[in-house]
Amino acid sequence: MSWINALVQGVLLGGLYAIFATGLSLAFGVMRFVNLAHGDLAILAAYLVLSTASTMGVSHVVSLPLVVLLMAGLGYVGQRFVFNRTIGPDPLAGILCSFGIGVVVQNLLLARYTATDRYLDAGSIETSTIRINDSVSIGHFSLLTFVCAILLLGSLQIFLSRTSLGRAFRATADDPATAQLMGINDKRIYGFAMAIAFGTVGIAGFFLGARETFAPAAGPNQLLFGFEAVVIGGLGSLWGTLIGGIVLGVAQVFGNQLSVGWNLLAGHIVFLMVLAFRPNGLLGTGVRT
Amino acid sequence: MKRKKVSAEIEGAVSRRSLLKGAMAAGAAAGAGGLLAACGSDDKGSSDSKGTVKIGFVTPQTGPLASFGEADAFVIGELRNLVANGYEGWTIEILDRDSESNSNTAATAVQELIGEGCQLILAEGTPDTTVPVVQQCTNNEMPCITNNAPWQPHYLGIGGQLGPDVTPGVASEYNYHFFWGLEDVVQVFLAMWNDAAPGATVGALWPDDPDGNAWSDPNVGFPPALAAGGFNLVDPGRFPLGGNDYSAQIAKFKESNVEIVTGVLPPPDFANFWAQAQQQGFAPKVVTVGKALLFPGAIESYSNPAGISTEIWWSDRHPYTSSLTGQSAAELAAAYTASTGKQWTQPIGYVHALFEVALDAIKRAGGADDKKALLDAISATNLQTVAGAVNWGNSVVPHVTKTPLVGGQWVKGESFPYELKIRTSEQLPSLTTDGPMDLIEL
Repeated sequence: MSWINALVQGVLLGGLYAIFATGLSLAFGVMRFVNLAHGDLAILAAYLVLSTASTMGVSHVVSLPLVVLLMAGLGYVGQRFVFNRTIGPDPLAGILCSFGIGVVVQNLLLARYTATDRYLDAGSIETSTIRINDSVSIGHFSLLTFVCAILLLGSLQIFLSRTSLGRAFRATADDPATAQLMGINDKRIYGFAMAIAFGTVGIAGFFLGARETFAPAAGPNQLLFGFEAVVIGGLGSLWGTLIGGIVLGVAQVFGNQLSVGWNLLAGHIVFLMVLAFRPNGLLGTGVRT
Repeated sequence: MKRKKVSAEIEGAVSRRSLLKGAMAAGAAAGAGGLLAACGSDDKGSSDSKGTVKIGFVTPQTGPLASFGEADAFVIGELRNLVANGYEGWTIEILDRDSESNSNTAATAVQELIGEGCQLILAEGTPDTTVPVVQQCTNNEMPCITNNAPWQPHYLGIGGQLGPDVTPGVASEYNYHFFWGLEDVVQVFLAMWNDAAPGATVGALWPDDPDGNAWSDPNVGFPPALAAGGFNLVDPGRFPLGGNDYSAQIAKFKESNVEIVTGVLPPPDFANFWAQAQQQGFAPKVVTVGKALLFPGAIESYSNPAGISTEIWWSDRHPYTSSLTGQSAAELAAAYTASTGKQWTQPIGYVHALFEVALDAIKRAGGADDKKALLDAISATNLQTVAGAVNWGNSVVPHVTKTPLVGGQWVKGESFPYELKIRTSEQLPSLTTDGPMDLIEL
């Protein structure tokens, strides 16, 4: 029975990883851009939720949509004025640039909010639960996280496959030069893509901050899990990111069941096995360069 | 960061305000006025002064350990006021540095402080701060007093030896340390559990880090004491911190009918465990955890924290007074709340006591110019501080003396969301308890 509970908890944990990894997956899928500041931006979003909620006198949940918009705006501006300048044959410039931005964000947060542990309040839903039987129960908050992950990735998938802007995204990702010949402004497309990626980071920051306490230096810790989810699922595939998150979550929880010391190790081993035997990830189609 | 924190804050406030008003001249005048005032007080102090003593102070003011340094600005500010006109004829300068919760930065800070002419170094805030500071001080033959770090990891970290066949020696000629140790945590936790749930099954969350390994040690940690005290132990094993899943531990605890949960976890990890325990229907009667439950800011961040219990080294009810200011523990805590608007935290009393010990030694040594005399004076300390008696004649290993540890519980408060109540005080019988342990109700 404990293994069934482990499977349930692992899948639900995978939802959190998938939400967190969505922005990474999108930025890589559309722009081949590896954003090392992703974790720090999620923590920034969590602090923005705190600040907007206390400024406007509303609950943390209510201020979330505003923060998502704020983050999206930041993403668009950041891509148009900073990241677009790093695009070129050498991906290193973008990676270094995002690394630097991560350091700056961490230190700005430290200066503004100090190092005290903070948290987001999602209300009584944080601990309420659906009890299946004695050993299996599904936390409402974990379930909400998982449902959000599916909705988020599903709506992004529909957006990419059904809308003209989504087609422009895919066209630019496949072949920016030809897309430009067809009248697509690739720099603008990149700006929109980063706006969506940052918006999803805002949602991820909320779920992270409500799940555990956070401090300015907490970002990089989560970044590794996000990357592992993206790589396991397949670079650039959105459904793959959901699958990757779930595989990583289940691997960690199963590792924990075997021996509590193997929690993180099991996740890393699955990640390495995927890299060794299916380098394109479970649903990946390979990276076109 | 590199400057004195208090003055930097004042300068920052001045420049922001003057920028807002757009009155640059006024700002310059205010800045110059501040400088002149500072010089003035210096001159006044040294006019009939026996000389200047510079004290360096290294604490974590930012980073994951920042809660330990949170009260520093207040304590140092009060002390600077106290010695503004000199102390026993000496001009006292306090230079504080932020370790940024980083061992390397702490070590660098000591080098800087020595370079600036400090004659005595003080440090506090977990072994991650005290150990590198003492190592630097030892290399530079600089007297140094430390606290707020359990004595075993501190003593072992600076080169001390412990073991069944070892006679503990002097780990560093230059360091004197006062705090409690692992045996005190064991004693306090067991006293609370004997009160709340005698003979219950204890579930342990001991991570794979120096604290977790020390607490789970089969010879000197919790396991032998639990067996002797009649408690069953369920220990799922060491686990890495930073993981997001505790379902395996929770399942084991539920299977074995664990009623008491213990461990030593940082706040984010405890937050994760505690939320998942509630989600998965695990409701222990007692939760007594080290590290995560020390500070009120962290307590408020947990879901349903009322009733969780922890070790207490200092509270506003401790029956002690400051040898410097005559303030009782209650008055010191109240002054902190009045000055910052925040709830008192445990390091306030210990940071204050650190300076009590330092100034007392400087007085008895006749200044700090003679290093040997200063070390002898520290060694001969016998002082009633706001954190308890400090007397290295009564030491557990050379240069380490212990202060009492008690235990308590967080309950819903009146002035603040959660307040700490004393539940056991076997080591300090003059501190009355606030009644027996409450069992946690979820």
